[in-house]
Amino acid sequence: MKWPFLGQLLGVDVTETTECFTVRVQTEPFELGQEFDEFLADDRRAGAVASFVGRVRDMNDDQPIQKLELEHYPGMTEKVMRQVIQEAQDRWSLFGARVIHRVGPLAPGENIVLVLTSSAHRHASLDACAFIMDHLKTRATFWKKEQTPAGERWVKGRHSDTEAQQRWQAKDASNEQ
Amino acid sequence: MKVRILYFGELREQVGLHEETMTVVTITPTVADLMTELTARGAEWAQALESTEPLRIAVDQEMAQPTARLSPNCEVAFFRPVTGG
Repeated sequence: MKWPFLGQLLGVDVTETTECFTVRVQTEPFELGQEFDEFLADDRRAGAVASFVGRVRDMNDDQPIQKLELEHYPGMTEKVMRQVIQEAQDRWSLFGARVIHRVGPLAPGENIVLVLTSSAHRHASLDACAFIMDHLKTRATFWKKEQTPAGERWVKGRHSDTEAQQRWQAKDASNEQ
Repeated sequence: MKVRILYFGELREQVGLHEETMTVVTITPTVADLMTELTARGAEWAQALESTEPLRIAVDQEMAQPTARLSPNCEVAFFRPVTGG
């Protein structure tokens, strides 16, 4: 910032701290509007904010879903989430990123995951948001168990999710040529 | 050598255990040595760890291969491919 004292005069905290980059694992629901407001606070630099919300669907693999149970590896999950955010920061110029992932019992229609990213212009935040989601899907240590009328079943890892992650590596390779 | 072992998701249900501390008998053991000792416990263990379903391993909360060496009091976790998001 050109005139840091200006921020102080206006009562705006313009210091960049790692608090702009946060991860949370929780059982409680989250509210997009509230998270969005907290995330941006008094940040006037961010001309662009991207958000993604993942929700529980009522159908999966031709079976109605009655309930979902999410478990995770406490410690490793947060570590991987922070690593993914760091990798996004290395690729794009971001002002902040917030990732919230829920665990425990969830019903169809409930929110599971939230990703918020902010940057000066739209491409950085949109791409970083997609990058973070694609890497969370294949690396963050969460597991879903579905309850269907036919009984309980553990959700299997999807090949399409691995491909979605690998497209970022393909982009790296094409950029190097 | 003492190691802490964690099981998650489907694997946790298959072996009926979430967490344990075990003394590995093999000298300078790898993850594969630990798995050999675990599968010797019985059919559920062999089915869980030698299944055709893909197995993922973490040592001290970093993804690892069966060839990874274990260190005293390290944390080894076994699970299936992740399905969050």
